[in-house]
Amino acid sequence: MPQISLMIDLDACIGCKSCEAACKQEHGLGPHTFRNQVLWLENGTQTDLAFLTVTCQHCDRPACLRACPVNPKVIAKDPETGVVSVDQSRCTGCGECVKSCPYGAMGFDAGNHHAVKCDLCADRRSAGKDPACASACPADAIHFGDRDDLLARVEHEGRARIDNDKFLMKPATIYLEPRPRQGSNKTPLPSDPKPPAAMGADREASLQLKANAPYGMPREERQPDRIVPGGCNICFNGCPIKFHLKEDKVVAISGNDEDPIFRGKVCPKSQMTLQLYNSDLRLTEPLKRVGPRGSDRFETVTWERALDEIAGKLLDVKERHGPESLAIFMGTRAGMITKYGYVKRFAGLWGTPNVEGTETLCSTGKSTTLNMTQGTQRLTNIFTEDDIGSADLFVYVGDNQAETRPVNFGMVNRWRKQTGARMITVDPRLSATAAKSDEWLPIRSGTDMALGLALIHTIFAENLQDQRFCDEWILGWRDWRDFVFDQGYSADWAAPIADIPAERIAALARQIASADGCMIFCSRGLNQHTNSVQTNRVMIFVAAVTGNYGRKGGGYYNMASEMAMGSPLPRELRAPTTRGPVGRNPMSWLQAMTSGEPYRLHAMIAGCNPFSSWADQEAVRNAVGALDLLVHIDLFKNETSRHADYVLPAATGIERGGISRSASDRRIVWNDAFIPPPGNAKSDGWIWVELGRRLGMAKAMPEKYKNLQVFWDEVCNQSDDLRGVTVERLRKKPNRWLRTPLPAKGAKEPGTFLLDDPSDDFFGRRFLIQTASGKLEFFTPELDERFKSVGLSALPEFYSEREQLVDLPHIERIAGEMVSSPVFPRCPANRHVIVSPSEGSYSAKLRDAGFDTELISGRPNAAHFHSWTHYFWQAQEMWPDLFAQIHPEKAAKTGISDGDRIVIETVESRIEAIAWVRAGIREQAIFVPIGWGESQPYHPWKSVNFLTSHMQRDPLAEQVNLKTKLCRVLAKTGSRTSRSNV
Amino acid sequence: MRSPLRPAPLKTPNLSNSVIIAHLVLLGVFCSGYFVAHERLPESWRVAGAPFSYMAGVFGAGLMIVPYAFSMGKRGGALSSPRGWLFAHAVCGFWGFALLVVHSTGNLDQLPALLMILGLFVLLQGSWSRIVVARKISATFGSRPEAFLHRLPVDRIALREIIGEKIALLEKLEPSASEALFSPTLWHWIRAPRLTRSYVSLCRREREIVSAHFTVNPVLRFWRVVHMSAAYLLLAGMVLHIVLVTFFAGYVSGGENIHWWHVTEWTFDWIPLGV
Repeated sequence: MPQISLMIDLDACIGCKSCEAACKQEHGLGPHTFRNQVLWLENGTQTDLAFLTVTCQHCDRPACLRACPVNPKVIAKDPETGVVSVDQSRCTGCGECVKSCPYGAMGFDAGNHHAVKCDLCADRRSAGKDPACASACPADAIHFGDRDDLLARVEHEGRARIDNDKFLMKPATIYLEPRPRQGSNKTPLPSDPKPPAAMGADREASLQLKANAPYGMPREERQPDRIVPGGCNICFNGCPIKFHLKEDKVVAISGNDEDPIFRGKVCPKSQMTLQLYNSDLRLTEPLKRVGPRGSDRFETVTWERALDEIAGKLLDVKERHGPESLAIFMGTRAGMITKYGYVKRFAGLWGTPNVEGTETLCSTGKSTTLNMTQGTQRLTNIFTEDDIGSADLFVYVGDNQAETRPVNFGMVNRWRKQTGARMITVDPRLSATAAKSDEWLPIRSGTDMALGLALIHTIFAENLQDQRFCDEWILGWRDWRDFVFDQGYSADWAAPIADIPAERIAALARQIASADGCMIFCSRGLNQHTNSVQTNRVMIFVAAVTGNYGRKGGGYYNMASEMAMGSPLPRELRAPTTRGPVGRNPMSWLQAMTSGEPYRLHAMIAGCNPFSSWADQEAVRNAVGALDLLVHIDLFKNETSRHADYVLPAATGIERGGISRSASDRRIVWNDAFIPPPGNAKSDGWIWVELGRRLGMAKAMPEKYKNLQVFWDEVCNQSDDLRGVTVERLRKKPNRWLRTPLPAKGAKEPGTFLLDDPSDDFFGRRFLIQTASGKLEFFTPELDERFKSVGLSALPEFYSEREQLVDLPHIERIAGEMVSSPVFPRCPANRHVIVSPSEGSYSAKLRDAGFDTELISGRPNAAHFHSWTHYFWQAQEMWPDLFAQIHPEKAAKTGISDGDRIVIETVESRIEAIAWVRAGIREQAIFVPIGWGESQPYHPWKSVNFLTSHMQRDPLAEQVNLKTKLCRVLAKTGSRTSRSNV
Repeated sequence: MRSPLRPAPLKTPNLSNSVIIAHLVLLGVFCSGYFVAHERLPESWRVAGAPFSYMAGVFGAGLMIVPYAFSMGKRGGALSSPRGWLFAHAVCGFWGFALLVVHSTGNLDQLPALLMILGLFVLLQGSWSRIVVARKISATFGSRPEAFLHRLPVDRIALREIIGEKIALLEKLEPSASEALFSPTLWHWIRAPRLTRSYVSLCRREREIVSAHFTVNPVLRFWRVVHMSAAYLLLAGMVLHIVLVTFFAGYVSGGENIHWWHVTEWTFDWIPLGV
């Protein structure tokens, strides 16, 4: 038998830690017990970011084996395979092997007191499988096999190996150096690299991390009775996964290796939902508040009592204040069927127009843009090798795909390395995506619109546009071109605004125009601004005029492809409403809750965590505190629960069944309900049907609708997108997903939407562009009227955010001037005016007061997703503390070192975080991730949304600005969190 | 309602933190109780050398042999279940000490009290290391990334030389062994102490070169050496005490009546009374 080993490609690795999640799950390892670990390595002063997977090197001269004092030794080396393994049943836990390993690659189980190490998954190998890490890695960074074959491959591909044999121990594990970026001969490996303190500082102190079974259980106890396919329901990657079930318990979650596109690749979050299903922290019984709001004093009540009382109070609110005084906020935790099915139906029967989700926090800028421009919200391209994989150029603008959708990014990065395609990232910080790119443009936050306008200027000035496409498919392109020229939105104009050299902007434009297919990926980096719609329109215009639209390998992409999910309620059943929605954005509810403008909201039912996700948390708490009734439905007790009057325990994922989030590339994944929920938790559907029954809605929300399958097939899929997506058809697929739109039963699954392929006319033209003109609409008189109603123009007049380090045009709302939203029916909207920069501006006053730093909030690293992952012990182990990425120059001026506890203040409030000093961020910027909260069990921190404003919103899309605020940063003396000297 | 997942109990005995803490608490209660009730106990429990306290010493010493048997057996290859013996070494150590407290009859103003203090130190240091140091050990994973990426100033020439010397030495010490997988056992020390010492010295030099690029927390580095050193010092002290009370009973009694079992009554006039 040949020697076997791992080959770890540091060029491909994106630091997502999926291999860690896979390893711990495979071997039942608990907190602080590692067989592998991914380190993020930076040098504080260099703008390079590397990821290193530390694991056993299976040395020919293993120091660990020689250090073992037990005779016969507890550690052995297989003479054939070369694998070094430890007999845990004989290890006395002296730790000599751990001390002796110069790679720091020997693990130790401090609970059971024995050494732990990688044995290349001996059990999996004996079953003919690859090690868990290699199977799960979404970036294809870990390979396994015959060592000689791997070395031959290295030589054939001309790859450079890292010298990891400094100690002459002849390590078998092969590490490949990151390739130099295009145009450079320097390998992007930082010298003197260190992991930041934020990665696990004070790790020993995290004793509160506790792993529930199946972690810690012997392998034989974790063997499944059956393995069933389904989908991850956390993010909008919608990865197909397999649930390994033993009786009524989940014992493992893996990627679906039968899926030809996903090939079993999966991110850490999917795997760590194992910790969700088996968590002791889950809400299991309905709770009723008995102390003051925020006191966290509750009593357990029965469902009957909870729902009876809630129904009674709702009826009381309705009678005294009208049905519109109830607001319902259903986030992505609740799932699409809940939000667009049950809740939409309930709200229609009840008579409230105040039903919102997280879209205005995440994506309405994008949705509004797509609706206005192409008439639908469908995205054109799909993640296949011959579509997205065939692009010649990938440009990420405000999209950190490597950390937010690692599986998608893993595909993209693998394809582009095969084809030699170039990758460029535009982002204020060196994200994992930027670290993998050939070029990083560190743009000033809030100025992507300026960059986009300059790209347009260069493209037309140099006649680089796809003229045929412009003439055939774009309405208003000349108006835009002329406007951009008239305004002088050149690369030279944009350079000081975006803080990117003009020549790089111009070069980017040329590259996009000349590429044989360019994918422009955008995300919340563009969406979460007051210029969200205009910036997205600019980017989609760039894609369109260069012919990157409706073709394989070219397109504009932004988060998820939204589907029309119908819940048609017969008109006679709809309750009458006399008042329109308070506003499209739940932030506009805050005023309604306190001052009653335009009318008072008295009750809210929340299905996720507004006390973490809503902007301006001081205002949120003040407003929600004024409600007569707050009902919270969730999986875990969080900040919102503490302030609620009733807390109802919800089921999720395979505890209730249903569909995943709508995936980026138009897939719907189905889950059956395989296991019962914990305790007395119920599915959201059950809760809404039961509540509805008490409110006289039984006819429209009958008992049978508690069955998600029935509800889906009879109610939810009644649209052109979903009519052919039946549960029966989904169940027939081994990977449980279908690609939409499927307008009829039996319809063929679509692929890429192609505009110029007559044979594909059914999907291309019919489903992609549904404007009146049948073209992409960027300027029409009708469109301009809509923009003008809120003070903007359909022509892309540049503006940025109100709070900036340089004075830029921004919008100001005109007090008292409310109009009817040109985007959202019956919703009010504010009129705005674009204000030119002036002396004594609000921004200038802030700067004079010491608010001299650009605060950017955003998604955290791949292990985390909003609040819920903070209840997964392993996600907390990977990224325990709220961190603030800060440039070394700024840190030095403020007397801050890596790992220091710091204070960050805006005019709204202040929070604390752990400093992560890194050169990979703009010097004047600081980045703080979302998702942490002060009621979380392991490492509680106040949410970054204490610092954001709820008033800064896009006039059309009502999307909140969460990306650009001025703040100041202070060292908090005497509080240092640092990695123990081990 | 879903049935809960429960971890199955370990098949090999686990000297877990809770077992250690439980023993410490029980030991504390026992010893405290002994001292509190001391005056009310029968004379045989309170007088050094009286039959009951003498036998407590005999049984206590007998229990205390287990840790040393574990230490030797672990290195000699005689143990089929090292973890089981580790468990036994701790439990016997705890209760052997408890019996030695009774044997001491609470006389902490005599020189043998130093052995009690040493014994207590071994117990507490071992317990603390097991509980606290174990966490430090597990936290070392991933703490040496420079080994992968740095141009570390590792003296490979010196390393090669050392490895060459080890291979040459091994030809004499254990011809059938491979240097890559070998470290000396107790039998090598017994059979060929000089060669073994030379080999160990080479290993130490190699370790110094290899570990020069990272620092090991001193607690991690030395807890085991301290534990074993203190334990063997305790063993030496116990042996000395047993020899003295058995053969030098005259000296030990200080001229008083010798009421314990002994072989001879030799004295050392020049040794202070009471040892």
